[in-house]
Amino acid sequence: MEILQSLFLGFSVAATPLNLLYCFLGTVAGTIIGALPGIGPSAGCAILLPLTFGMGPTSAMILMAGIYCGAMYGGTITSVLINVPGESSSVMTTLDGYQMALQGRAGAALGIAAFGSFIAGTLSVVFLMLLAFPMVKLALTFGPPEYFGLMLMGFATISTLSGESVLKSIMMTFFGLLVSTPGLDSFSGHPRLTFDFPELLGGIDFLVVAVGVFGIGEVLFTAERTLTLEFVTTKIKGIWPTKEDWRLSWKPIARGTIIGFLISALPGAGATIASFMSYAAEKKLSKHPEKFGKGAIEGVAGPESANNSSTGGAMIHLLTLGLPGGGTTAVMLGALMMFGMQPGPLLFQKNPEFVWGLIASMYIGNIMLLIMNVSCIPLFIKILKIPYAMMMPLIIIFSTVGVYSVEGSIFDVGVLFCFGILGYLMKKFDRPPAPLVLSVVLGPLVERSLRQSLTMSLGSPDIFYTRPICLGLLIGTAIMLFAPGFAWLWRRRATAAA
Amino acid sequence: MKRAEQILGILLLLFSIFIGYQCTLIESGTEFGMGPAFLPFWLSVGLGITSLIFLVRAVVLPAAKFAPVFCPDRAGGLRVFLVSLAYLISIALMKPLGIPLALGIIAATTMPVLGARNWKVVALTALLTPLVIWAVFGRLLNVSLHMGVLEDVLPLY
Repeated sequence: MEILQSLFLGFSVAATPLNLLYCFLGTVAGTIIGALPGIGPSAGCAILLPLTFGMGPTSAMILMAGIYCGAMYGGTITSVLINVPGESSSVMTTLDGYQMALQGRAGAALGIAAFGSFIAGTLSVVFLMLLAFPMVKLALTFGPPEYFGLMLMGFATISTLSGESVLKSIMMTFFGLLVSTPGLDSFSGHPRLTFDFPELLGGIDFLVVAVGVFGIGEVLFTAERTLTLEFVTTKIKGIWPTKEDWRLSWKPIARGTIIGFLISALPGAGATIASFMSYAAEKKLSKHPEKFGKGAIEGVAGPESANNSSTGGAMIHLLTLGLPGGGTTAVMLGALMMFGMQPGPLLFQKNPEFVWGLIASMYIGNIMLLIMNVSCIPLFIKILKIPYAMMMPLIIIFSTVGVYSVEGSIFDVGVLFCFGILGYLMKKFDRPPAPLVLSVVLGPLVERSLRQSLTMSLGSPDIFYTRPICLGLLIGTAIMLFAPGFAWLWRRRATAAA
Repeated sequence: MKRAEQILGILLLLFSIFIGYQCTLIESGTEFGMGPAFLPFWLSVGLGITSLIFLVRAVVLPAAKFAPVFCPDRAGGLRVFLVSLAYLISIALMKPLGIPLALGIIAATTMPVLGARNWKVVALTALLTPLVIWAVFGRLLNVSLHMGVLEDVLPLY
């Protein structure tokens, strides 16, 4: 009953004309961003964040949630029509979606992806609502040591589950945490690592890092490759799934929804892993696994549902614990803090209209996205035909003005350039960007919880292993970090023995 | 790429040593535990250790384990260099010329580098950029843009 009352409150906030407009704009922008190869939802949210400065926090987050959900839908378009995933969570869709397009079934692939995404996205918001209150109750028992343990576990999860080398992720986490340290020390007021630049006294804003790494870095990387988008077809027919399509797809959609939600509910794991796992599960469970990779509709329905379902899962720990699970939610957390909100369990008590307005807007956004993706695909294809030679300079311009508008500082634009180069080099050296941005956002929170914990215990580290939840989280972190190493050693021994 | 990995490892190691040294100049402990330099110092140690591991790996492993070259497409590498250079120059020009005009220069210089061949489109985009920036960010979103030489032509208030 409490949930329904809260949801009604949320709809009263989200259904105002202005918020509906922001939700619509967010979903349209998100779909385009998701469809553009190279520009993912993290970059989209970071680049467009400065546009929200004149808005209230609720409207701003509704816009960003629209971008996030829209990007998950948008990635399908280019995956199916040009065999290039718009963003990483759509990689699996290329395997069968593109084959379907070659067989003249692009409409069916896009249609089942849209309906599957809608069902999964909506159900994940239902799960989010159902789990939010128990999570808030649990989170309210947490003190600084538990938060410290939880953040460490988030770093460990993103390092081990992001699909990249664990050591590379750990290195980027150290680097990101270091980037978050310059400025006035919040406890003593002592300046540190400012190198006599007065502009660094306020620290390095997370937005500069996020826009630099995700936005400018991607532009430079794209400049190296000269991408041209060549569509298999631009005439989309038969977008409404047939009875046979539904018969084949309903189980993959259901499984994808559950897999996507559960995977992304782990801090650090996200849509990409969910879509990979869903594809693997469908192939394993299928009576005709040989059809996968040759245009099986289940290979589109499952992963697409999983990546959309992950939006609800990712929101759980962002809203209830104040912990982002990946690049996009890290940008959203940073945005929340910029608007003066304190993410975490108290958000539900202090700002229920904000939290429930955001949740309600995700329902509305999913409906908007379904309508758009069923009826406006040709329009999106036209937008995607805007040449990269025009699109990329626009991204640079937008990023630059956006970063400048935060503090009105040209110094910040210079720092943006440096992080843009860093983002490009990270791509070249195959270093993952999400741990860097996540740790820049979480850095001050990690330090605060660590120092508060040590102040509570008068400087003794006992506090971390005498509190059961904190101890459990630290053990979980250790297992996550060391398990891949032990597994490697075990495999090596087994190979040597054989 | 093996050589590039070695250079990266050395640079990161030197960076972490430099940061670690800077931290030793600040107070690292207080009565109740951590001082301002405590966390950055240990983070620099962590970064140094991981960089060292990658450096050793880049020295010990054979070149075949790495991608063959840093930049397989020379023309692509040149485009990245030119876009970066244009961006850097326009940042340097932001103070004297103002942000809208500097961003117009970015459009004018990067579009041809990225493949735009129609000079009319390039010129039109470059001309429209300062106007759109002024109208959208300056007037609509009330961002206090540094207008530079356009201050009297396109007033913000």
